[in-house]
Amino acid sequence: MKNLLLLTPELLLAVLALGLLVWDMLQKTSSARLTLWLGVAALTLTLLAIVPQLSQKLQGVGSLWVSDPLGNFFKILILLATLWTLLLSMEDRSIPGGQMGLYAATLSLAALGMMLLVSATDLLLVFLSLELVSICSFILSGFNRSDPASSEGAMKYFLIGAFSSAMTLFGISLFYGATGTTLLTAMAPTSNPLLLFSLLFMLVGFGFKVSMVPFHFWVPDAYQGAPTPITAFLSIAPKAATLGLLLRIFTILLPHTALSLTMLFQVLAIATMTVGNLSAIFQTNMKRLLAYSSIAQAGYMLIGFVTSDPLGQEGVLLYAFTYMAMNLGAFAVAMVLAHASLPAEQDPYHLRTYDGLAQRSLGLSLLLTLFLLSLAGIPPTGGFIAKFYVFGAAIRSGFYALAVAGILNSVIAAYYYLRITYRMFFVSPARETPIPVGNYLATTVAFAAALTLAIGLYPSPFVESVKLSMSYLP
Amino acid sequence: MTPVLFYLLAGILLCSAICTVTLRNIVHAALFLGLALTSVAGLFAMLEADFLFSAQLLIYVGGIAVLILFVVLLSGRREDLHARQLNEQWLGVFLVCLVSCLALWKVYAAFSHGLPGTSPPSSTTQPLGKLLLTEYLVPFELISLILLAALLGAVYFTKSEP
Amino acid sequence: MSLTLYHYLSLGAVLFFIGVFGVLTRRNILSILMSVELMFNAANLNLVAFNRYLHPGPLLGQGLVLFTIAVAAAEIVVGLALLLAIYRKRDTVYVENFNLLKG
Repeated sequence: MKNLLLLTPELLLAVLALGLLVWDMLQKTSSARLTLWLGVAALTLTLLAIVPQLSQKLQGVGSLWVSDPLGNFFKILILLATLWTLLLSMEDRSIPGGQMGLYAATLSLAALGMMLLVSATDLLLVFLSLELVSICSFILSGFNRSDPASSEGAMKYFLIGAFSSAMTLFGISLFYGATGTTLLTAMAPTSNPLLLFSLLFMLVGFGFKVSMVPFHFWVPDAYQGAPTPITAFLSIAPKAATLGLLLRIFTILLPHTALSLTMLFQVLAIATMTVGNLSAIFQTNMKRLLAYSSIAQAGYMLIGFVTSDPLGQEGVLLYAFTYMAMNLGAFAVAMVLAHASLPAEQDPYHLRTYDGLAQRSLGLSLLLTLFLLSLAGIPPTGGFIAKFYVFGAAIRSGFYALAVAGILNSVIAAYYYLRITYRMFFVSPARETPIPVGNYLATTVAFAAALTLAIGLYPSPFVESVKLSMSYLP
Repeated sequence: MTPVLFYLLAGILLCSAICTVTLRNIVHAALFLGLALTSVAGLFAMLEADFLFSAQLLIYVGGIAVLILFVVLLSGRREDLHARQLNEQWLGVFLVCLVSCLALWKVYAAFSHGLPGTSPPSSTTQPLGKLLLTEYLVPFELISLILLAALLGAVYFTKSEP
Repeated sequence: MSLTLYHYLSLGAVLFFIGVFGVLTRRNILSILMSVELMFNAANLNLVAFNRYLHPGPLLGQGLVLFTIAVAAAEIVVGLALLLAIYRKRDTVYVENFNLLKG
């Protein structure tokens, strides 16, 4: 066991998560705000602990893990997403106030699992981190005890999650049989069919987390039932972490062998985009619509896997970062509107709440339009730059069918995204009441909007840092 | 002697596994799961994994199977004992599983020549313990966090609401 | 006929696919959980068999099995707790009755 100190941020986060639990235990009266702020402080400390590792000296290979710019990129993304989830949760009423310590601790443990996932080079560590993330996600998606839809979504998530864990484990057993070790670096140049089967089984398990088709069935129900900050969290963080892991396994280490999964990834990418976009057209609930849209966004990111060259990989990283900003903003605005709806309405996330938003709050409707434009990939937003990168990588490597499918899908997606914009600006509202916006939601929306615009208008610093992040060990 | 024992254990395992996934009476299915897990423990013993044999019996049979039986008894109703348990797609799923299993057998066929099993260490407990505390220390601690998360979830979900 | 690795591996494969069949076709959630346990056990059997026959030196396969037994226990605990919470509210454990979320 060497180079344990490479894992300093993870160790710190583990200790702080346990500290949150102890704090919650010692509390006589529950103060939800204070506990959440302690969680934010814990995550910020961990972010600061990563900063020293950005320099070359503190990177290296440990026995089961590695600390390199690729891992650091994803760790920063994950911690930022978790931080903003905590801020979003400060004003969410579906989370029982007395359980905030448990909530913050589970969220921190999930972030810890994800951080270990992107820096793991051994399949045992991969499996255990994946399980930690999964178990914490099951708990968080069922956190709203008073809503039966929450438990139902969590149960569907759990069943499919357990199934895919077993698949992944079977794949790991075949990998061990083929190579005699669980170190990912042992993928030597062979074309052992056992290795191929093991990778296929593992792809099933990981594909579920990334919501690849046909392993996406849990996504709409789990996303709709979970408390909305958790929906935002689930749609960004586990997906990004698993994409980082998939990058390591399938684009960096797999080419060492004589196997090629390019065709498979092409089919999966096209299927994921298409199913996600087509299903989103028929949705009337905003959370479900964003769930299907997030499936489609994962499909665009999968295009970057097909090429296996640095351009595609950088496209995945840039897309993941931009996606974090867009999705965060969209969900935050959805939360603002849901809070503004009257208790008598049974579905605060129904699309009719967006009717006439421009007349009730022009700022909110403009911001939501920005996020929707970015999700659709229309300039001058960050989403356009990200899509441009990914499709460009596909075209440059000769995968024209893939690029065409991606562009067609973007057109379909633009339809349902802009339909919401149409409702906001051209349909008269049911009520003319103004919409109160909480402070934390406002800052989240502002941050997400700023990031989306920044990537869209001045992409160079982001593209440069993505290029720098694309160096990896071993 | 050894092949006979293997076939006996394998037969018990497969029959109880099939019973677990096809029986209508869910209490019987849970009991057959316990039997299947016990026969897996027997197979571990045949493979000279002595610590795993006892760990499997203690944790899987004594813990997990008993826990499942608990929940089956807590959440069952009389009419469940005779209801149809398979959904509509069972034939398609059966065919897919059959084909995949045969494909996997073909891949495994490379190992069908007799491999001389090398002599294993006499007892696996100490080497396993050493492994857990030296090379796999980080996964060991991670497991404790996973168990903690599972405990938190279990307590949270079974708390009565205020 | 002497025992080879092939015997153990094919047994593991059959057990795994029995589990897959159970997960995809059973209506009762508890049966699905039991089938997932069968799948986990099949993978464990594979690991120990590979360790014994193909890579006998370091006890890596058996160490892995130890970890996966613990993980399976943790996962099933969460699942059963969730199931009990649902059963108390909705009084059903069948998958097809979960249709609050539609579309």
